[in-house]
Amino acid sequence: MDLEHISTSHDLVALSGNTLNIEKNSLLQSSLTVLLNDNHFRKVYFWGKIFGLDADYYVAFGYHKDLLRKPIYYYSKNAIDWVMLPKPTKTDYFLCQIITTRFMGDPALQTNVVDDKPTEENPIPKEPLKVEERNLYWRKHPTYILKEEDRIAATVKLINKQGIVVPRGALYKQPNGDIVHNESWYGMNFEDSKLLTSYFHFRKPENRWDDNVTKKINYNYAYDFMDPIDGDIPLHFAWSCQVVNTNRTAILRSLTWPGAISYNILESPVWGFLYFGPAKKNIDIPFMI
Amino acid sequence: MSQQQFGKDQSIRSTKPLESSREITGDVKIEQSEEMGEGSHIAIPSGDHSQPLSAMSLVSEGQEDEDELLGEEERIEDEDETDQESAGDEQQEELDYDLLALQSPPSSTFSQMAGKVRAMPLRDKPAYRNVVKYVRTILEELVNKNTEGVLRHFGEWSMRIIKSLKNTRGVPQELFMPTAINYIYTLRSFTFGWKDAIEEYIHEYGPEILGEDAIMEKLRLGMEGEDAGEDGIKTIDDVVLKPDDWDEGGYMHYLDRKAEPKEPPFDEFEYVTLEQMSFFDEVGIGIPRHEQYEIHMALFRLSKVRNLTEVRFWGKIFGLYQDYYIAEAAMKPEDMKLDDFDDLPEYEESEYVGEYCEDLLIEELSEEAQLDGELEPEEIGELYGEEYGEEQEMGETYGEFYGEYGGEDLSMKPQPELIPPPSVTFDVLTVAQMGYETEVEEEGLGEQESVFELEVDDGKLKGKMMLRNYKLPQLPRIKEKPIKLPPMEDPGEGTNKFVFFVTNDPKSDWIRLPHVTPEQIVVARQIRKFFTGYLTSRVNSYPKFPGIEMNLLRAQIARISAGTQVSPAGYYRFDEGEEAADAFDIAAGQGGKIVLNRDFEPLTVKDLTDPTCTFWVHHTSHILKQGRTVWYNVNQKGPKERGEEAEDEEGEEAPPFKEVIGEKGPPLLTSCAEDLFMEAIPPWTVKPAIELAPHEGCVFVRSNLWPGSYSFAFGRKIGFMYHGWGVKALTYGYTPPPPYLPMKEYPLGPQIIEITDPTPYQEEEYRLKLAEWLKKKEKQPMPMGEGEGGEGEGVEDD
Repeated sequence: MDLEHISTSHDLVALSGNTLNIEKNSLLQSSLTVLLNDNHFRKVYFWGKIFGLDADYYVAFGYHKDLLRKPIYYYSKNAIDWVMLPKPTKTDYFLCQIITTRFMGDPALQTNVVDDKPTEENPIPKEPLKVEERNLYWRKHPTYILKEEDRIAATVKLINKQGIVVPRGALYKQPNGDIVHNESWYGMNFEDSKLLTSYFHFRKPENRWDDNVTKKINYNYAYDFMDPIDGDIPLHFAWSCQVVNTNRTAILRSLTWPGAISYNILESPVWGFLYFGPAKKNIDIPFMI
Repeated sequence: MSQQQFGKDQSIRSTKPLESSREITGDVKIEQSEEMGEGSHIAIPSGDHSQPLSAMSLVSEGQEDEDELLGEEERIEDEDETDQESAGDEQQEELDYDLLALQSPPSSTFSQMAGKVRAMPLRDKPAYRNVVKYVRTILEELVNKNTEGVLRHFGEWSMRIIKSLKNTRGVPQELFMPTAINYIYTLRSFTFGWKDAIEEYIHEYGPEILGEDAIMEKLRLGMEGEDAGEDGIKTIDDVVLKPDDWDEGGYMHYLDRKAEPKEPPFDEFEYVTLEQMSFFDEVGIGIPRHEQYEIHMALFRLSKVRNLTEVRFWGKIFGLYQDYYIAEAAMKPEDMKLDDFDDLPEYEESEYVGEYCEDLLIEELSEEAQLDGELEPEEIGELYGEEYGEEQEMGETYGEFYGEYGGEDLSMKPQPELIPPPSVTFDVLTVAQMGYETEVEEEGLGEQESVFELEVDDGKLKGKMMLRNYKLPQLPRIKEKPIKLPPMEDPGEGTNKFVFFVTNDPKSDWIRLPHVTPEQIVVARQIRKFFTGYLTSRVNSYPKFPGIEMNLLRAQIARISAGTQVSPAGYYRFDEGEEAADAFDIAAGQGGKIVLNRDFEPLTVKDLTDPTCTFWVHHTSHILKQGRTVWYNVNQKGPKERGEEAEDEEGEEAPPFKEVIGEKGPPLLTSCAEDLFMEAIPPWTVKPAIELAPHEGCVFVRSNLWPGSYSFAFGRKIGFMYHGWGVKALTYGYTPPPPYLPMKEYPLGPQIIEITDPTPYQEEEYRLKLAEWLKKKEKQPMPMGEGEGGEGEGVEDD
C-alpha cells in the first residue's frame, strides 16, 4: 500500500478482511514518512503485517531507483521504529519453508529446524522406534538454527515471489532498465480486471522475456516483461479474483498465501497489495479446490 | 381558464408541503389569488368549487373547528351536486385526473396525499382507485373462509361491499387501505356515518382488517368501554386531531406518543451492529464502511421480516468466487419454514471445477441423474438429519463403508466345525475351490455333503482316496446392519442453538442455512475445502461430505463458533431457574443453559490481557467427537421401542439396564486457559487493541487455531467476529484420511489363507502321515488296500 493512501486506507485494507486501527494508522503514516525522508526514498510502501503468537510484525519497504531489484525492506514491532531486514541466504529460504512453528514476535528468537526429509542413509523407519533409536534417528538428520529476523526476511521475499501481484501497467521499465511505478497509469477496466493475464508477479521476471511478451496481443515492452500469473499451478485455482463494491474494486486473493491480496480501484490509479496473516504457506490447495 | 388549468395541473403533480396550507387562512378567494400569484402549488380545480373547497381544506388545515367538521355531510352533497352541474366544465379535468391516477400508483402515505386529495371529487379519491385491493380482499376472504362455491360467494360479497359503499359514501372501502393513516384520513374527510360503518366492519371482519392493529384494538376497547385504559380511544375526539396537537407535531406524533409512551431504556448489554463494527475496526478486523452500514440495515430488515429477536453479525467467509456474509439469529422452531430452501440461487459451475476431479464428477453426475426428481431442495436440511434410520438408505450410501459407523465386523468370528482332519491341510484348498464351482444354494450351505477326493500315486499307494461327509464351509453372506447415526440436535439446542442466515451481498436477501447434523460435523473435520461462494455447489471431497456447500458452510460455522466464541468470565452465568440442569450434568458438559449476567462487572484490562487467558471463558458448547454437544448413545433403544417392550413384558423382569459411559467434553464456561495446545501453538493470543493506551480501547482475543476468529471485550460490550477462509490452521500439511480397508469377501479361515506350495520334503512327510493314517484305516471294518481304489470310485458315483 502506497504511503499516500494510508490515511484513507480503511476501506482498502478492509478488503483483505483486516483493518489498521486509528492508532496504527496514524503511527504508520508518520513513521513511514520519517522513513521516507531519512532514507531519501523515492517511494515508501506499507507491505503488511505478520501475526505472531506474542507480537505482530509490521513490514514496509521503499526504493530509490528500482522497485523490483533493489527494494529495501523494514520491519517493526510497534509501527514506530523500523529496522532493516537482513538479506536472506539460501539456507534461510530453505528453512523458512520447512519450519513448522509460527512466528513468535521476538526477532532475536532462534529456532532449531530439523530437516527431516528421509535420505538413503536415513530412511523412514518401518516400525516405530524405541526411545534410544529415535534419538539416534533424529541425530542423523541435519539440524539448523533459524533466527526469526532472518525468517521474516526470507518469508517476505517468498510471499512477494508467489503471493503478491501487481496489475499490468502499474509498474514499467524505463529505457535505462530501472523498474519503477507508473505515475501516469490510471487503472484497469472492468473486463481486464477479471483476467489473470492482466496481473503480474511482483518479482524479478523468471520466465524468458519473449515468452512473457508474446503472450499478449497488444504487448508493450515497457509493461510485459514481468511474469503473468495465469500459468500458476494449480491452474485456475491459485488465485481468487473478485470485483466487489458495485464492480468498482478488483481484489485478487492468493490461495497459496492466504492473507495476501492485491487491489485496484478500477480506472483509478489507486492500486496496491497487502499481506495480513500468520505467514504460513497453504500447501494443501490440491485438496481444497 | 387555461391559467387555472395550468395551476391545477401543477398543484396536483407537486406534493404540497404541509406548512403552506397551514398559512392559508379563511377566505378562499384570497387563497386562490395567492396561489395564482405564486405560480401555485395548491389544488384549485375551478372557481365553482369555492364552497366545497373551504370545507374540504380541513384535510390539511388543522385549524378548522369541529363544528365545521360535523357539518361535512351537507358539503359533500353540495360537492356532488356541483360535480354534476359542472360536469361539462370538468370533463377535461376529469380526464386529467384519470391520467393522474394512471401515472401515480395509489399511495398510502400522508405526505403524498397531502397536496392532492382535498380538491379532488369524491370519485377520484384513492379509495375508488383501490379496486385491486378491494377485489383481492374479497378473494382472500373467500379463500380463507369458504373454499366451496367461490363464485356465488364472490357475488354476495361484492354486492355487500358495493351496497355499503353507497350507504356510507365510501368509508368502508377506505378501510381496505392498509395503514391507519389512511383510515384517519378517511375519518377526517367523511364524518357522516363513519362510526357505524366501522363498527359494522369490525364486527364483520375483526379488527385486523384495518391493518394497524394497535389503534383499532384501542378503538374497539373504547367502544366497549370496559377494558379501555388511559390510552383507549373512547370518542371521536380521541382519534380526530385537536387543533392544538398540530403545534406539537401533527397527529402522527400524537398517535405515536399514544402508542409508545416510553422509550426503551438504554441497555449497556445491547448488541448494536454498527457499534460492534467500530470495535472490530479497532481490533484489526473488519469490512469496508459502506458494507458495515449495509449489513447493519440488512440485519435490521432481516429481524423485521423474519420476526427474529436476536440477530448478530457472525462474520464473513471468503469464497473463491463470492464471499459469504453470515448472520446469527435466535429463531423459534415454528418460524422455520421448509420453503426457506425453495429459491436457492442457481449454481453456475466454473468451467474449471471438473479439471482436477473428473472421475469424481462422473460418479456424482450419475448419482444426480438418479436422484433427479426425487430430491427436492427443501429436503436438503432434513434429509441428512432424520431419515437415516432406514436400512435402505444405509445400504445405498454406506454399504461401502461397512464396519465403520457401528456396523459389525463379521470377518473375525471363529467359524466352528469347519476344519477338516488335520492331516490333509493343504488339500482343503482344493475342496474349497470345488465347492464354489458347484454353486450351492443358500439353504444347503454348510450342510452339503461332498466327497473329498484324493489321488494317491507313489510307489506303494495308488488310486483315489475319498472322504465322505465333509462339510463345505459356509458361503459368506453380507449382513447389512443399519448404520446408526446420532440424531441431529434439536433446533435451539447445542450445535443448532442459533439459526444462520447467509448472503453474498448484504444488499440482497438472506438465505437461511439448514441445521447441522453430527455426521456433517464429523466429515467436515476430516476434509479441508475452499468455499466457492455458491451455496448449492457440490463438495468434491474424500471422505464424501453428506451434503452440499450450504451444509458444509453450516458445519464449519458450528465448529468455529464452538471453538472460538469466548467472553470474559462472569459475563454469562448458568441459568438457575426451574429448568436448570443438574450441577453434575453441567460438569460433565451435558446440558446447562447460560444466560446473560446482568450484574456483570467489567474485568480489568490487566486481567483480560493475561496471556494464559484465564479470564476468558467459552460460551458455546464444545462439540464432541460424535458431532454433538451432548453425547447420544447410538445403541440405545428409542422411547417408542422401549415403551412397547415395557408393555409386552409386564410382570416380567425388566432386562438389566446397562449404563453406558459416553463421551464427555469440557462444560460450558470453561476457561480458555484449559484449552489444548496444537503442536506447541497456543490457542489464543490476547492483546489490547490500542497498545499505547491499553485502557482506552478494547481487549481482544485472537484464535490461532482458526485464523480470522476474534472476540473482544470492552466494559459491558463483547463481540465475536470471524473473517477468513473457513478452514482450520494446520501445523503440517493436510493428510486426507486413508481409504477404508477393503471388506473381507469370505470369513477368515484356512480356506482363504494363502499357503505356500509344499516342498518335496513336506510332501514326503505328508505321504508318510497318510500312510500311517491308512494303516489305521485298515484296522477299520472296511478294508482298503493297494489298487482297490476302483471300488471306491464306484461308490462315489452313486
